[in-house]
Amino acid sequence: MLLRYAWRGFWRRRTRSALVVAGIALSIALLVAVLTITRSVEGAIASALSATGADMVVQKRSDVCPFRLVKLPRDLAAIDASVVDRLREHEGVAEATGVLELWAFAFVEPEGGDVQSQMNLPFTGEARASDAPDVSAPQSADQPPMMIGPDGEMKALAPTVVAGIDPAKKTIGPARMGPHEGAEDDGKCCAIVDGRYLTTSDRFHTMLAVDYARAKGLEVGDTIPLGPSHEFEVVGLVDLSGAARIAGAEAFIPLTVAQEMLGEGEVVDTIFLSLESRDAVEPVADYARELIGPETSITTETDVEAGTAALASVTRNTLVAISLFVLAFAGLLLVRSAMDSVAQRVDEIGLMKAIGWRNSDVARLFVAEGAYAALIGGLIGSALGAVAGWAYGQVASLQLPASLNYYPPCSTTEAPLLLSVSTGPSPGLLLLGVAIALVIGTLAGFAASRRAAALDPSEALRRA
Amino acid sequence: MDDEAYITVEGLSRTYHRPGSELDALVDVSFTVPRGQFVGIMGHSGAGKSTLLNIIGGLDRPSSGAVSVGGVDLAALDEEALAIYRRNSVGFVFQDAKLVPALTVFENVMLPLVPIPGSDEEKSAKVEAALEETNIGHRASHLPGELSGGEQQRAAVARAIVNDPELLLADEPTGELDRHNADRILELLVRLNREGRTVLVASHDEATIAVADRVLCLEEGRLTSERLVDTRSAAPEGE
Repeated sequence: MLLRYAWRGFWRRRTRSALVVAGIALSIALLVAVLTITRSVEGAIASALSATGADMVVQKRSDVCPFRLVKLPRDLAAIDASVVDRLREHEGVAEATGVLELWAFAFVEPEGGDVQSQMNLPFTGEARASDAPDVSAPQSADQPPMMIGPDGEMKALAPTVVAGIDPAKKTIGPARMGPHEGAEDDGKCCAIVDGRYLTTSDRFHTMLAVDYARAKGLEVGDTIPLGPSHEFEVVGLVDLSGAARIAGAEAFIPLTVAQEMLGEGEVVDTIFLSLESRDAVEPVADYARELIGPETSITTETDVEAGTAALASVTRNTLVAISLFVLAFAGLLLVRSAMDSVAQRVDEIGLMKAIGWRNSDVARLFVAEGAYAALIGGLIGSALGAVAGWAYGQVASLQLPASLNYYPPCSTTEAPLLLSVSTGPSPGLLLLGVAIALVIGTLAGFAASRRAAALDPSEALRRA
Repeated sequence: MDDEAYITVEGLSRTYHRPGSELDALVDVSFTVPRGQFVGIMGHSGAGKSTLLNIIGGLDRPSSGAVSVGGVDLAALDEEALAIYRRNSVGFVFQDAKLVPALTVFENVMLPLVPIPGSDEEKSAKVEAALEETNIGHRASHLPGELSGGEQQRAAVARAIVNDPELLLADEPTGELDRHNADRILELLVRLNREGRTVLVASHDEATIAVADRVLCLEEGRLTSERLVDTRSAAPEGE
């Protein structure tokens, strides 16, 4: 009954109650919005790694290697494949796989008639591919490089971003298959939109990213040249558009075939590691540096976050600090408002005591009124915060740093850099918002109740 | 009327300490009140009437002396016990009714029952009975601001008796009412007294005090005279 009485008192004093509720709601909305957005951005950033099933990516950087028709992307350097096995056996490593990411150039007929006018490579005649400059810095951003093909005719070169993967490692790597019941049995999974996954017996077979296949007009069963001398049969189409991923590719081929195409032996250029715990990050990274050398490049979730443009100028901690400051300010206002309420209701408090309310009864009344304001403010604020977070997700365009992917500027498809920011309401955050509001409102009510309880009843009645 | 003392006031003094001054509100006041008596406390403003009622009602504590009500020494009660005493044994009626403006008449009368354990039905029945007794039931759903002064005071009396206390303390209960409404309130207090309650009414108004069985006169905190009235010869019309 005391709660009902408190509710009626709260409801009948609409103006005061509305102001208190609005104060709580706005501060909670700000906090929930900030936490929703930062959580979503962190989730999106983490998904770039989690999409590969890895906690850490190990690479080796070097000077940009010279142009070849099949070459390592940009500044990536080859790592001996044995390093993958040694890392896999290291304490704290749950799984490891090596990927050989390549740029494979194939000759295509140039568009337009005048071949010479389209030449943008500084050589003619019997040029060898290895003499050509690196195409990662193309002479023209919107034109493919050109060179004389095997038939002696000037042809354009079209790059395909190829990843050589171990078909036996479906759960880690850039073409990771997500958890799927029966995936090991039927070779199909949620990421395969047509055809099948590569098998260990495949050779010149490829899975294509579905947007790449669409751009090229390819379907399962078609063939595609990857590099200057090999045709690959398309056996599957993979949808990798769900999330940005590190070391994404347009075509996936067996690792052994990729190594043959590169011609540098059993090497990889990107190693994906899943770790047993976060504590393993540093020791495993140290071991990788020990094995690979000073040019080792380690990428973890922290590195991705640091390199991501999201929240570049205002970090999560800053935003949360601002929210907490606003919350604290709102809390102080609430306490002040509750104190004012006591001052304005001295006669009522005196009356309550005169008719037999104990100090604890009066205190409970004020705490309950504060809790009502807090509960309503918390619910409204949490809802507003969730809507604000959702709205941010609709307009946010967050991308991975381009340095974490290896697409040439003239690639057929864009690098999978766009982070998928999902800002759906989190029940945990909504509850947190309400809980914080309740704590603040109840504390304000408690402060007021202490003052109310301390009032001498005869003095209170006299003052009224 | 039971001649045995229900209220015993002995050597009661109350001094208010203010910065730079002291005010003796009550000085060595002693009297007894038998159960069921209607006592009028007469005196000018500042004579100590309200202070006396507050101390007997457990709202204030004496500087010296002793007060016992129903055999209970109020000085021996702590804050919690005093609150329980006020809840169970005392009903207050104030000059300005002191109804909570945000609550309906029904809710105002319910107020003393709010912190008490019990079913809603039981409490509602008590409220309805109190409203019925004070003839204000037809205004139960109204806010105090919608009531006349007399109706507000009747609602305040209903609130005072909803817990069925033995002792009713009324401080200038007719102070803000016209004669007609004042008489109706006095009728009500007399009726409640006749039902067995002990009633103490403080007023500076002779007409109000006239309904009492006995009148105590206070001047500057001292009990200066005491007189018995002849069986409420001056009872208001309608009695």
